[in-house]
Amino acid sequence: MKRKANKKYSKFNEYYDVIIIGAGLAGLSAGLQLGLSGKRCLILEQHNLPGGLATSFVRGPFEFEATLHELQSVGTAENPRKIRRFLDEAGVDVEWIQVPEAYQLVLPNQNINVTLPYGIENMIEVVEKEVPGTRNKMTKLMKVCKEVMDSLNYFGEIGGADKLSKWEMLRNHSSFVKTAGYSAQEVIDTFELPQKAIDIISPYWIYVGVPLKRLSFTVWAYLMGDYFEGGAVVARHNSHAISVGMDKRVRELGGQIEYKTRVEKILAENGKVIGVETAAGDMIRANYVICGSYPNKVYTKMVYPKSEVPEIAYKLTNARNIGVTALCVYLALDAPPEELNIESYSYFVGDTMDTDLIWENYKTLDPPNYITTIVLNKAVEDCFPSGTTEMSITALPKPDGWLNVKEEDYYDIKRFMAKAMIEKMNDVLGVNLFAHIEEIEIATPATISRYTGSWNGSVYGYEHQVWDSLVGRMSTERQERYIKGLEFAGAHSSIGNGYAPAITSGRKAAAEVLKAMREGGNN
Amino acid sequence: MKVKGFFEDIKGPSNILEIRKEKIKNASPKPVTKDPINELAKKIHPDKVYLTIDSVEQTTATSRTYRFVKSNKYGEDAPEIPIFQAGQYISFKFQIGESWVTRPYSISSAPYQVLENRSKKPFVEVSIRKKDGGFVTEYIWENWKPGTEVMASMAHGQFYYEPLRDADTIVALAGGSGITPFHSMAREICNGKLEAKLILIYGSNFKKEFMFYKEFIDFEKNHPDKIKFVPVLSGEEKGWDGETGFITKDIIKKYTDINNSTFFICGPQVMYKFVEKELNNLKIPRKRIRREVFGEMPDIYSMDDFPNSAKNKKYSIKVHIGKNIVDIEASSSESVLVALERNGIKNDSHCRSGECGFCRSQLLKGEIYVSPENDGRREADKIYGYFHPCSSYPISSLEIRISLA
Repeated sequence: MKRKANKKYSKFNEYYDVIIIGAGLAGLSAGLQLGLSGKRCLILEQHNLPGGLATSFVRGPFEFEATLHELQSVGTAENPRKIRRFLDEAGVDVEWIQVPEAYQLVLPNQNINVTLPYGIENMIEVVEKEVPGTRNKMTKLMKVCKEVMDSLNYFGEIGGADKLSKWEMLRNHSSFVKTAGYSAQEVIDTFELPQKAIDIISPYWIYVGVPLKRLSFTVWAYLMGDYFEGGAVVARHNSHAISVGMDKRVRELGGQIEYKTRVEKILAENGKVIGVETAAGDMIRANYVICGSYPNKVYTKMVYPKSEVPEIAYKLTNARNIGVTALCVYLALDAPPEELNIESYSYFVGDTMDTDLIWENYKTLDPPNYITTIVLNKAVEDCFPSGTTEMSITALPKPDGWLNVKEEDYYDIKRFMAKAMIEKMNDVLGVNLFAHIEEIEIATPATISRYTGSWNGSVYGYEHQVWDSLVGRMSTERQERYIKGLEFAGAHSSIGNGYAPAITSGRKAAAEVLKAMREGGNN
Repeated sequence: MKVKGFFEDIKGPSNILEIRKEKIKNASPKPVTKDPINELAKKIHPDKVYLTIDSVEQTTATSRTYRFVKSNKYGEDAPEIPIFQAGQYISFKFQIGESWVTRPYSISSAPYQVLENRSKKPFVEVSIRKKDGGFVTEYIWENWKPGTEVMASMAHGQFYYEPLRDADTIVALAGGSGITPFHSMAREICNGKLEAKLILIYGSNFKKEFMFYKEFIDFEKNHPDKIKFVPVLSGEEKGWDGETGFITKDIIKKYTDINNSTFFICGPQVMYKFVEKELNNLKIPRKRIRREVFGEMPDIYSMDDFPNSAKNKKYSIKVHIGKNIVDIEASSSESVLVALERNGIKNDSHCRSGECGFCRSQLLKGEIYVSPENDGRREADKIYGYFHPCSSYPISSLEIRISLA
């Protein structure tokens, strides 16, 4: 009975209603949505943990948050927003903790050092104080941002803007319609704000990682509206608590999740999905697959046989630009935040606020000229042992600079970049952080790729350029579904990157599958 | 709200779709399969490496050094031996009878010996001391010969010199086979690839049990500015004029600048207790002390907080594997991981010390004992009932769920 135990145990049923590739936030939320609808789903994850990038890691007495900075669309218990509402409905238990402020922006070369609070009016007041005479213009700009956000949320609720007539769109969603064709820069410019004010409100571009001149205004507006109106949260016990809480509910709703199980092939026949094959050689049948792997990988390496991939699928992935990846320095410091002159939870620090210049810098292996720093203690006081500080410093490089890194240079480059990023924070705080480092870990694009398998280490899916952002993607996603029964969920799907979009994209993919099931019986 | 004019603005959404159509139409129809970032990741952290034993050297009466090269049985595409950082370990995975086992060993060779031999024959070495009655080392002694094929995963662990954190001088406090990571560091330092000074204070019972004794004498002779070797003999031996006794604070103070060093400790469990007390007496801050994990505890009952009522007990464990349930028997003296392995259930692991979390599994029912020093669980995992079988001991019957690799 004990001999060759592994071979004996088949892990799977022969057939599932839906197979989900990847137990990232998108896959888990798809699993929740399907479980709530009584469907039998199987989630397969190559890594040994849920959450994908929503995870944490332990070094000695310290548990580090891996990626969560500011989770949007949660709101408060009294004013819940969509992510809190969904997770509550699905029975996922997370203790949310409000982030104290939007950000402290430090631009030493421009003598800018300003802290923006949450609350649209509060934020406008601070900008007015820094740049007098901007109140009216800022109020108008933020009104447009909020209207764009409200429209997008409404489209989500009704299941797509295509349900509305052109006339309804223009009458009720005119801010959305009139700005959809433009970049953030083009729209912001029409408000004729002084450059200093624009600099002060630009930092959130980094949460999408596309320079303002090419970034779709729709996305930037959504971020501005959602963050400043709704605030942001983090989870007690790190983002891993969100992931493991979702994992638990998926199982309770009848789903099966298997870790350390890599899907190698997505099996297709006559233009339809018929199942998957794992690296261990298990063939599992399903008529629907929700896929967290990037389309680049799916079309070029996973769909089997290859003849099932139409040429247009390659054209689409080749037309798009892969988004930014990440470089992150995690520090456990042996002093409390107040001894290190730390005032804020979130810092944006730049040599410049010109997003084109930052973008060019991010394509190289030069020290990053723009960093984002999170001090988790400022939101979750007891995240680390008493008397210590948890700090993470992040830059979001394009894969470009890392494409030709050789193994023998890897550790040196990693340390060179980390050193420069820490030095930047030393200058801001007027403290020598090196004297306080008790633990340090450095995650590079290769680290991201190792744990998530994302294409070229991308953390943000594809660039939200004007032509390839929410409007373009959502209007065409059904005609761009080249294999029937294959849905994508995650940063690379239509909604794009971020914790909240990942969760929403999983729900959306599940809704598409449920719709297809209703319409087509069994595919 | 007006950007370029009402009529131009409201055409925005349809303009986007036109551009999108054009962009896709004009894009290349060729599949682009290259993912260089993933290639780099796989080069540094391949899933598995397949190795062949190239040579075996008896280094002391009870220890041997095994040299591994890439196996030629898995083709050119099989992963090369990856680069690592001096001080890291390799985890071997093999079968002994019906048991699946893994064993972590610090790599005793240096990273440059992989890199500089890329065009020839890159190798890694581990130096293993035989334990009497040790299930695995006795198997290795019997069976690992030149030509033996072994599967492994590498490199793991955080026991390496980190210039952004550590002082310029590494003070290595080692006992027994705990010298192996420092042998790797010393080689790398002497080869000019690691910029640090190393002072090795190495304790042993008998002179003949010192591993790498001659090597360290040579390192010191050839690189007196970089390497200092202080052997400490705890047993009595004629003709020994070096330090004797244990690695005390006096010896540490005598040979090192305690305020400008980072202390790296590697050795048997009893040594940690002693040495850490000495470092505490010297008021060395926590950030200046690095400790290597030492694998499974040889005697878990010796822990003060291990419940007496659970000692010398056998328990049953109901193991969920996918859709299957298997019942196995376990003793409270062995970790859940060992119980699984003895029963031929392959639950892959690396560190066997609770640290890396690779064997993370779900505890559905029952109670486990985890020693505080080896508890590397995430907070949320503790709340949601996940545990690391390698550092968890059953103190009741259990029901668990594991992931098969």
